Parts: sequence; C-alpha cells; structure tokens
Amino acid sequence: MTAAENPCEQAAARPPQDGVSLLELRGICKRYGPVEALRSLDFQINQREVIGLLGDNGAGKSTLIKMMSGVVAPDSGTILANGMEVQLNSRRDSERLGIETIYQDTALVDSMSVIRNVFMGREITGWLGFMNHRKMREITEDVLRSAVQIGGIDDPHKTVGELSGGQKQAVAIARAVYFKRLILLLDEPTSALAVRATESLLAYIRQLKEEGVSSVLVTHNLYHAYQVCDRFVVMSHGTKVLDCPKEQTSLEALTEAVIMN
Amino acid sequence: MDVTMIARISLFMHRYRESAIDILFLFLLVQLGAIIYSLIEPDTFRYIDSRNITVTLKAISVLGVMSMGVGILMIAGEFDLSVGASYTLTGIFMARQVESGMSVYLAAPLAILAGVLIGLINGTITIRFGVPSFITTLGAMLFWEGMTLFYHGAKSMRFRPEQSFVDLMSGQIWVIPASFIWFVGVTLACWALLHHHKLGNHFYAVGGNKRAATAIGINPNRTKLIAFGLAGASAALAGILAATRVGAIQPGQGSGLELQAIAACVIGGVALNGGRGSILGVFLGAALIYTIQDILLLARAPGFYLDIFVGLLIVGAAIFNQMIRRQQRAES
Amino acid sequence: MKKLISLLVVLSMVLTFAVTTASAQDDSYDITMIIYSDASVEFFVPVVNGAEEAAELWGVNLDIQYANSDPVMQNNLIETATANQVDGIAVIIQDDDAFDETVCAAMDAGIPVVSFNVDDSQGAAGNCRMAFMGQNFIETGYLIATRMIEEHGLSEGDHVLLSVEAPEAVYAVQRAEGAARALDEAGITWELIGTGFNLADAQTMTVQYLLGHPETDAIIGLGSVNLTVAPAAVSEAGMNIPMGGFDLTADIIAGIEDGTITATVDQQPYSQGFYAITQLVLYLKYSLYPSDMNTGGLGLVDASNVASVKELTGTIR
Repeated sequence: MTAAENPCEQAAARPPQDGVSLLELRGICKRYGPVEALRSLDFQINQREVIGLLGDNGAGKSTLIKMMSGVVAPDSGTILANGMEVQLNSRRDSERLGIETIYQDTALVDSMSVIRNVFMGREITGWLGFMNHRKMREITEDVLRSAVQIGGIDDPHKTVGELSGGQKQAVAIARAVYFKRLILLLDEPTSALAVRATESLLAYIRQLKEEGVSSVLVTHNLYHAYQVCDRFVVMSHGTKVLDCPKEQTSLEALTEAVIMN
Repeated sequence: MDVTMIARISLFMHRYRESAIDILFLFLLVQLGAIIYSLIEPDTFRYIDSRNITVTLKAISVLGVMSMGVGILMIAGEFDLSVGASYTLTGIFMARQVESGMSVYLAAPLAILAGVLIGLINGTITIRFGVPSFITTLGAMLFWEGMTLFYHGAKSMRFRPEQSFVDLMSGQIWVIPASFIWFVGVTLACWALLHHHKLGNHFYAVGGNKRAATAIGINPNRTKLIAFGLAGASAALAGILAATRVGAIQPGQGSGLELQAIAACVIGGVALNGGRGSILGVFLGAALIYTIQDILLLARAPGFYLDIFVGLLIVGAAIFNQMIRRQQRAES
Repeated sequence: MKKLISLLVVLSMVLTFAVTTASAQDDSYDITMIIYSDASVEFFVPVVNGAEEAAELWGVNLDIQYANSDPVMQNNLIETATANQVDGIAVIIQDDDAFDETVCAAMDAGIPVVSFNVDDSQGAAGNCRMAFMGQNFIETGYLIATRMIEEHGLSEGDHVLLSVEAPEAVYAVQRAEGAARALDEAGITWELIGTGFNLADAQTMTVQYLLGHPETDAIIGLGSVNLTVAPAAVSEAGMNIPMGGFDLTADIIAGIEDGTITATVDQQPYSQGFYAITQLVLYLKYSLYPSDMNTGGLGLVDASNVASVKELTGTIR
C-alpha cells in the first residue's frame, strides 16, 4: 500500500495537538551485516496516546524498541525528543528522557529476590550508597499489590527463579510501572499472563494514559491491541506500512495489513 | 519436638537457603561434636585447649581473608586463579621494601595496592579481549610465579618489621589471634558491601544474568573490574598476615592456595557460574576446612586423610547445592 | 532437611571412624614427626622407616605429618602438636627464621623438640631445638667436590654444574657452600641451578643447561633428585662427563655400579629418623639430654662399597 492509497498516512502526518511529539524517529536505518533491520523508518510518540506496534516476526519491532530504549544506536537518521535532537546511546540516556521498557525476556535475574530485581541498578540508597532495604520492600509490596494484581507473590524476598512465568512477567511490569515517567515501552508483555492479569494490565495502560504516560505496546494479539490502543503502526521488513488512528481502521483491516505484508 | 516445630524450622531454612543456613547448621554441629568429645576425653582430644583454639583461628584467617575476595569475584561471575601467586609476590615485594629501609606502614599498603593492580590487569585482559577469566588468571598465575623468581630469586625472604606492626598483624588478645580479628573485620566489611550496598546488588546481577543487568543499565565491565580489584586486595592482605606470622616468605608458598579458596567458597554455597553465594557461606567454608584439619590433627590421623576429607566435602557441598537449585526450579 | 541430616550422619560416622582408628588410649609416648616436603619425595622414605622402627622398639605412638613445602602449614602443624600436648616433636628446620617462634613455644610448653635432616644454619644459636641429627653439609660438600676434582683431574679453568632441588633451603645453601669452596680453591668455575623436586622437570632443566653450556666438565648433584636424573640428562645432551653428589636412590646406586656416577654422600636418612625418635624417648624416660649427631660421618658410597649398600636402598638407605 503506498502513501497515496493509505488514507491513514495523511491523518498521522498531521502535527499532534500540543505542537511537538514526545519522541520522534526520522528516517532511521539499521543494518546487521547483510540484513536491513530498519529501513528509512519514521515513528512518533505523542502525549497521552497508546500506540499498538504490530507486524509479523522479523518486521523490526524489537529493534525499534531497543533503539528507543537506548540499547542499539541507528546507523543513520535522527531522533528527536520534544523537538530537540538527542543521542540515545545507553539505557541511562533513554532513562533520562523518561522512557522505561518492559523487555521480552523480562530482564530479571533468577538468583536474586523480587525486591532486588525491581531495584536492580536503581537501588534506593541512603548514606554512602548503602541500600535502604525497608523502603525498597515497602515499595515492592505496594506496587505488586496495586499495579499488577497478580496473585501468588506473597513474599517479596522470594527469588525470582522460584516464580512462574506469569509471575516473573508481573515483576517486570511492576518494575517498569514504578519507574515510568513519560513513555512506557512494552515488548510482548502479556505472552505469559493469564486472562485476568492481562485484563488488569490493559486497564492499567489505559489509566496511565490519563496520568500522562504514553505507551507503545508490541504484541501479536491484535484483539488486546485493539482494546487499548489509540493508534496502530504496522511494520514489515524494517519499515512502516500502516500508521492509522483507531477510528480509521478496523480489526479486520489490521489483521489483513499484518498478514499481507 | 513436634511436627509443627519441624515444619517451622524447615520453612525457616527454606527461606534463608540462599544465605548459607545449611552450612551454618553443619558447622555448628561439627563444632558441637568436637567440643563434646573434647569434654569427654580431655587428655586425648584437646579441642577446647586455648592453644588449639588459637592455632586453628590463625590457620583459618589467612585462607579466609583470601576466600572473601575470591568469593565476591565468583559471585560476580568470574574467577581469579592467580591469587596464590599474588599472595606470595606482594609479600616478597613488601619485605624487600622493608629491608631496604621503608617503613612497613608504607610498604604494607603498597603491597595491597600491588595486589589490586594485579587484579585489575587480570580484569582488563578478561574484559577487553573476551578471554574467559579462568584462562586469563591461569596464565597470570604462572606469569606472576615466574616474575617472583625473576624479581627475587628462589631464596627465602626474611620479613622483620617493627614490633608494633607484628603485634598489630600477628599479636594476640586472650586466645584470639590478631589475624582472626582482621579476618572478622574483612568479613564484616564484605558483608556490608555484598549484602547491603548497591554495588553488592550489582555483583549479584552481573553474575546472575549479565544480559539482564546490562539491559537495565548496569555497567557490567566496571562492576566486574571492581570485583577483580577486591580479589587482588584480599590476596595481598592474606599474604601480609602470613608473612608477619612466619617472619619469612618462601617463593612458591602460595601455590595451591587459590584452589583451597575456591573450595572454601564452593563449600559455603557460592555457585561456580555466578550470581549465588553469601559472605557467611564463604566464612564458614574456610572455617570448616580448617576445623576438620584440626580435628584430624588432634586425632593424629595421617596427613592424607585431610585431602580425602576436603575432597569429599567439596563434592558433597556442590551436590547439595545443586539439589537445592533443582528443587527451587521444580517449585516454580 | 532430610538431605542435611543424611549428610550429617555420613560426616559424623566418617569422623568418628577417623578419630577412633587414629588415637590410641594407652600410656605410650605420643611423638609427632613433621617433614617439610610432601609425602611423595622418595628421600624421606628411609627417614620414616627409621622413625617407625624406633617407634616400634620403644612402643611409641608415632604420627607423621607433611607440610607440603609451606612454612605456614608447617607452623600450623607444630602449633597444633603443641596444643595437643604430644610428648615429643621431631621437625626439619629448613628455614632460619620461620620456625623459631613455634619451636620455642613448644619447648616452653614442656615438649622436647629435636630437628633432623636440615638444621638452622646457626645451629643451637638460631633455634630452640634440643639437638640436631643430620649431616654437616658444608663438610661433605667440600668432601665430594674434592673427590671429583682429584679423581677426574679437574683443574683451573674447568666448569662444573651444581644442581639442587630447592636453592633457597638451608641444606642447599650449605652443600653448595662446601662444594663451592673446594672448587674456588682449585680455580674451577661453577654455576648453581634450582630444579624443584619433580624428576621430569629436573631432568629437562639439566639437559637444557648442558646444551646451553657445552663447556661443562662435571656435574655435582647437591640433592637426590638431581643426582638421580644426572646420568640420563648427560646422555640426552650427548655428553660424557663425570657425575657425583648427594644421597641414595635406586637410580644412583645403578649409576655407581655402571660407572657413570663416581660417588655419593650418604647422610644415612634412616639414622636420622631412628635416632630422632630414640633420643626423644631416652629424654622422656631417663632425662638423657639429646645430643647432636653427624649422621653418615665422612663416608662416601662409591664402587668399592656399593654392593653392601645396594640391597638396603629405598628402605634403609
């Protein structure tokens, strides 16, 4: 589908209400040896929006997420935050911009407790860098209870290795939820979650939008995406093939866009 | 003791498995057994004799100090086999400076600095070139052993510093030798670092899942480099304690100590592939090895019994820790 | 929990077994003998045999411990024996300073200590031990070097290799001192190399030295390992030079028999072990003060007396 044929492209090309995007990627290219992971990609995240990032395996969704997290750098193209050009060369850089990520492989350490995993790298410290165990425990219990509502993690001192797949994902979500500031990137967050937990998470994403946090949701489950997203971006072979607000598309159209490309 | 008590104890031990509760129980029971036997047969088994306590504590201290650094490094996911060579070389370096007139209070910290440097070199080569630390430090061990002979030759080196230093490092308060006080001090410092400081959390993270730690923003190279430096420092301190006690340093005397340090860590529950272990475990591992050696010597058992025992203990402890891990995984 | 208990049961069973088989509950003397090397060094086998025969004659409970060439470990052994209040200690003093404190502490605690095989280089002035049973290495170093010079017509300008296992140890320093004196007097140059206690390594190092110094005219092996490997090393280097040195092993005997080795100094390690135990017992029983012994005297083993020595090598000699 070309730009002319796709009515949604024009809609997306309109500048966002507030004037400038939270995060914008222009003309991004990334190559891994002979493989072009991203080709001339444009992508925007605006305030108070939830974007569904769709596409088949190998489309480049994970690479895009990693780029926004600061884990990989683009070969060419520009990244702008609030209209100003930035370099995202490390996790710290993206953190500073208020971007938090839930990774596909959860990025948890099995041999450490839930508390230590939640605060890994961002420990709450007092005097001279010594950790404030009590505060970290309280916050962990609080977040596990409120944000994710996953049963079974009764003891935050348990090691993550003892948890089930769904519980591990809940911990990863809880961590991102606690540290989020402006943008939340979710890479397949519901793959191991049970139905009720998934509903809970989707509801939470909607709530976050009201609180001023935008999200990018990468998922294979178009149904989930359709429930919660305001805008849909479909990728294929490293570039964008569709960028449509929800009002201008349907579940069937999205499915077709993903499968056909 | 009824069923609920046993259940509660089981739950308690289950919960604190990671903090070496099992090895503590084992250690306490061995001590209890030895003390009881010593009370029954005071003339043939002098376990609670004050001199025996002192010599056992002295023996534990040198290995214990070295094991602390080795253990922290293992938790961070790396090895250092050159600690034995470093222990000897830094000791000889210090003794030579003292012999040529330098104050030992300057020479000793310099020796520790030298140990840190050796550790950092090991770390830099490992990280920069992606060589497994086992290999890097195996080479380093041979290199520094050779350098010791080159620097000093094959003769024994006298170490006769000021008496105040000797008292500080190798004196005695009641039955407790100074070296043991140093060991306890190092243990407490390492405990605070590993279990209560954010850097300790980073050691566990990069050792347990380097990819996850990197993704979250921890710098694994910097973290590991610090651990390498700590291992080098502890090796040098162990060397200073040994040199002060004996009054001399013989080249080649540290040979084999690195494996004993790893053994103490493994017995104490430190995992070979990183991410697991506790300071208490390392402390008890070193203590257990020398407690058993002491029991065997008091019982006048032939020398090779000790090797057999420590060998069994290492494999037994490793199997035991594996079983725990498999149980944990099955529960999830 | 179950696993912990089973581990404990096994451990306590094994420990009890070790303790009961090892400790005796009678009135005989308990003596601990501490050898500075590890248990695999052939030289100490006759020492241990001598000690064990004396122990049997006198009804002594003998405990042999090895320090694996680590002075820290050796101190642990001495101190533990002291804490254990054994009746006597026999120990090798291979370092002038490392054992001063612990031996004196043992003596202060009322435990007689004698040394054997190697002594503090300052003798009684350098260490608290009551007596030393071993050989005067300086004298015998001079002796064997003189024999080699005379028998093979070595003269000014010639070069001799002195090889030894542990050049930093007192025995090596003393033997080298004696040999060097004889060589210096004759204007013969010499060089000392350290090879360690491993036979294969010692042979390799000796061959490498010879290949690098083809002008070498003779070898004096200052230790049993070195003299043992000398014939093979010389032949491997394609040379044909005379050899002599110290101590006895089956290979050295064979070398004397076939003429490749001229002579060897025998410090009679059996006597060292035997008399160390015996003198301790005599002190304990009758308060007879132990006296120094120069074991082996000034006798050399060579082609003239090798036959009588041969049968006893490895066990007694």
